[in-house]
Amino acid sequence: MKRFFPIILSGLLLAGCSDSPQNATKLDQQPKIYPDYIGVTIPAEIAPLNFNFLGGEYSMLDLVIRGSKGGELHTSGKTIDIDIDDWHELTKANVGGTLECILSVKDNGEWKEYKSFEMVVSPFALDEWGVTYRRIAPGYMLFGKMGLYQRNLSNFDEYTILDNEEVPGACMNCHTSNRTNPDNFTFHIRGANGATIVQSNGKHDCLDTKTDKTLGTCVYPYWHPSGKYIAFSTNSTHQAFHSVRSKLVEVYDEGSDLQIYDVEKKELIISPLVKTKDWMESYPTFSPDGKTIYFCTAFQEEIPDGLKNIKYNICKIDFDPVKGEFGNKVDTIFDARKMGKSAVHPRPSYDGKYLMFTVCDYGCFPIWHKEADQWIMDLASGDVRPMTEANSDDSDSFHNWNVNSHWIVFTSRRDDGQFTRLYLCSVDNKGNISKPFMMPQRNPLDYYQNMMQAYNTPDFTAKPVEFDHVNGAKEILSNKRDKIKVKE
Amino acid sequence: MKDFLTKHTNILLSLLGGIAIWVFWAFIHPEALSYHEQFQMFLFDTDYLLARLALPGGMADYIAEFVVQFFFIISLGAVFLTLLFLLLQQITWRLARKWGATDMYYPLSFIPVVYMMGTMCNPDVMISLIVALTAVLAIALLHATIKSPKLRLASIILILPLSFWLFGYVTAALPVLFAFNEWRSKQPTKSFATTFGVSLAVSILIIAALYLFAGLIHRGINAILIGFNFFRFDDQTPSTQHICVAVITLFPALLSFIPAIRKAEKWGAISLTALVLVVGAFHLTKQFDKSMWRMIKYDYLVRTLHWDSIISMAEKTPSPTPYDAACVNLALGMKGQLGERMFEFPQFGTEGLIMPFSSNHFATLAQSEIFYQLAMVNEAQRFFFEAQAAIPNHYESARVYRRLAETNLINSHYGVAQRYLLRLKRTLFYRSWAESRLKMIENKDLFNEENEYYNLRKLSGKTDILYSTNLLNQTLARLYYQNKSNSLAHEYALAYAVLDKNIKFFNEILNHDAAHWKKYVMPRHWQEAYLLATIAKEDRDLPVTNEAMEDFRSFFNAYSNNPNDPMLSIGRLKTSAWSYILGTK
Repeated sequence: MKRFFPIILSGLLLAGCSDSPQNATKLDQQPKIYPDYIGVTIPAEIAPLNFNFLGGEYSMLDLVIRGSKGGELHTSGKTIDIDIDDWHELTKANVGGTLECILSVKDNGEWKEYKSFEMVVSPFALDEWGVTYRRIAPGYMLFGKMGLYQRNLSNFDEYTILDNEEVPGACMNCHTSNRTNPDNFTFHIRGANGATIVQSNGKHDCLDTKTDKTLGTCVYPYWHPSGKYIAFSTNSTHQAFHSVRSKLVEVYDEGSDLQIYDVEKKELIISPLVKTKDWMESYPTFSPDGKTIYFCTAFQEEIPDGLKNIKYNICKIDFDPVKGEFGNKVDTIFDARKMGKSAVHPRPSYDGKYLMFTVCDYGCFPIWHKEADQWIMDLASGDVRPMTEANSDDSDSFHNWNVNSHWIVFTSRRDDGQFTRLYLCSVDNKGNISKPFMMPQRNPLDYYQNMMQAYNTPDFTAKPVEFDHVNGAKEILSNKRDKIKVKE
Repeated sequence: MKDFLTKHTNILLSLLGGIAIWVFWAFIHPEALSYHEQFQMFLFDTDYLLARLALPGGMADYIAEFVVQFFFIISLGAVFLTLLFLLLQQITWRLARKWGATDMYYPLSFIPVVYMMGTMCNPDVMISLIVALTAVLAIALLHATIKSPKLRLASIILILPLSFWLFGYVTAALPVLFAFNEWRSKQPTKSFATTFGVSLAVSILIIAALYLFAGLIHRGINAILIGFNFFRFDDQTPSTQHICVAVITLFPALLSFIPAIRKAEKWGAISLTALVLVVGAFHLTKQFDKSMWRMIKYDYLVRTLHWDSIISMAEKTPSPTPYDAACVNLALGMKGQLGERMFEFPQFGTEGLIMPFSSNHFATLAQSEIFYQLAMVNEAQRFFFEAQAAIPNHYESARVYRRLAETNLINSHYGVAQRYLLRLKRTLFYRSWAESRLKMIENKDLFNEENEYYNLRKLSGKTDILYSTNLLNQTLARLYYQNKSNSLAHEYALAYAVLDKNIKFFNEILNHDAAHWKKYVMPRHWQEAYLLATIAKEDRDLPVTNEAMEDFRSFFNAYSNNPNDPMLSIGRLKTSAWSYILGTK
């Protein structure tokens, strides 16, 4: 046996050597990979952009990533699983440069090297710890298991903020922090234990936001930069179901108003200008200086006949944060109705340069509208354009800015048409928008194929959200709620 | 032979018991297995195992779900379930024997099996409860075989937390069983007390740790302590479950207490066997909720497309609920008998034809199947999706995923269909089916060759209308007008109008096909409704049979004199559309 040992060892070593792509056949085409990370722009802090090869059968992958400003990274195996530290070392050394990715694929004992592709490392930092989102089955009325989660964008760690295993039967949504700072955040619980949770500087309130002077409970929130107020819409939301193959669900409002919640006084500020009888006002947001509220509004129509005539425009109204008062006129800043479209989800960038919104054919719930796209307005010039670089043939919908206003996180159904996923893209100083990339996962194909939930209402978070979920759940289940009043 | 029988009485008894258990699940109660199977999807992958092991009692869930996947083939599933029950019986007996029970009482070791089967008459008691009980008794048995008293004592420190994590709160029985073992093994009293004391101390430590670290599991402490999946609704554990746990885990100890009667061993065993059989049958009958299981059986027959069986079941026992009526009406529709026979069976208005939406995980399934067969594909998809979302323990359902894959294929939403199919591909029993459907995505000709999908796509809605229960009559009629080969939609549109007592609308739908009805004999109930709709007319456009005319005259002669005429409650007049519409029943 002893005399065979060197032979066996040499054989094993040779076999090992054959698993590196020396003398690979060079192909004149780029590889088909999932997710499509070819040509995307990434922040240096992002988790490794692992991908899966979709170009057919293979036994081994080999990836070399070379930085234009230096550095190289090599990984091989059945899947691409890049070491997080090595990746960050490379991306940080190549800020403002590019990463050339050379993928070789072994099949039937033969290596093939695909034409390289690039990723651009943005000069703009992410400046954020991660993202928060809701995960829920992309369904109809019932929701099954769902919850609010946060994800560290520098690696693959996901943490539960609160899910309905702890609060059985509850639906939770619209987790929103103040300019990505989770020291102030709010979210809603729907169902038998309904409440609006408002956490401000480590202390949280469980609120019953329904009053006899307003339409209903508080719905879509947005924090005032001071943390003193939250702009909410209150909506009478309904669902309807289509009968043709191309459409499934319609979510629409039969009424909605705006109201500002004063966190300290626990009272709602209302105005007849945004609490109108025939018009529906929704999705309010504050400008970065806190003196303007952007929102969308549409004329009420009879349902179902008038459903397709519900077209929202983007408007604004002044807000005085000192007095806690609305201004005295509403201005339309984007007349989508004139274009035969509906514009919703206005979101100003925190640097005050842009206003991003979603445009669809009609209604206020574009996630179920295949034609929904994201648009951007230059607030200084008033120029408006669709974000063609980031849009897809499927629904591109809810979005949020990061704190330095160079990164956008948004939801899109481009992956399969129904299960919404998160994408990130950048906006440079000239307003150029990059090709978006799907939120990275350790093994993206395996992860996303088996993730039978959709991502909703994503937002960046500067640091991990701290919420005492054990006591929070107890409080929610206790049904003790603080009533709020309406400012006279 | 006699010697052989005497020598192997216990084995034969177990064999006979096994056959009886198998027959019960495979033939008497197959719908129970289908019910369990349809609310889970066992996957052969590490993530699935780890997800189960991440929670207390997870190993019991994992083993149970492994077993339940075989319920897809009822006879095979019944074999697995029988083996599980026999394992419970054998371990019960071995423990009892170890603690001093005599052979005569062997038949009594079937009592936990019978008791468990009775508990399982609640369809939401999960198989994981049997697994956990069997496992805990097996642990007690293995522990009892450790010869060294010190090792026996020391092993408790490891066994209790491990058993709790793997098999859940059923582990609470172990301290009692360990201590009982010491006592029955005639160990010094000190050994009994020490064992009980150590077990108790370890149990307290486990509970304390759970309170401290419950936050990491993101579940309520009650759910962590009581277990997640012994009952399908983990926040509504019935007290009968705790009684079942107490009875079954303590039963070996109780059995060992019964004193031996040496002189009457043979007859004693025979009498006890008879006693177990009689008490067992009585217990099962008492626990059996006929109404609920009838609904589950209807669902099983709808799932397996056994339309004739549904009709013959309804012929034997009239359907007492709208749910049953909806299943029977679907079967009649599928067999083209709705217009001819629907009033032979109890009717509950339009809700017994198209059930309203319910957030119940089970009730929604049958309605989803009705929409699917009607080619109301979007509605079928919605109801299947809701059924999945309503499953109380949030498990994935292979039955639902299969249908969702189909509705998405029919709707040309291939990306979504693929997602469900890839998931089903990881199962044992849906794999080959999923692979064949995945090929349809790659090769659309294969889709067109699949008549069911091709037809449903052809028959489904072409003009968009928003679904509304208030407009169902128009929706069904329009579905038929769009494609007149959708015969089920035709039957349903007419039946809906009759059940809605909207005779005018019924007449409109009927007259849409006037040419057809002039050529072919109209089904009995449609003739009846038509005669009522045209009661004021001298000359009718559509032909009716002489028999229908005679019935019509008889009915209205009697009805106009006395709406409560007993004649209206017999024979053909009783089972007529007039009787339903005019409310003579």
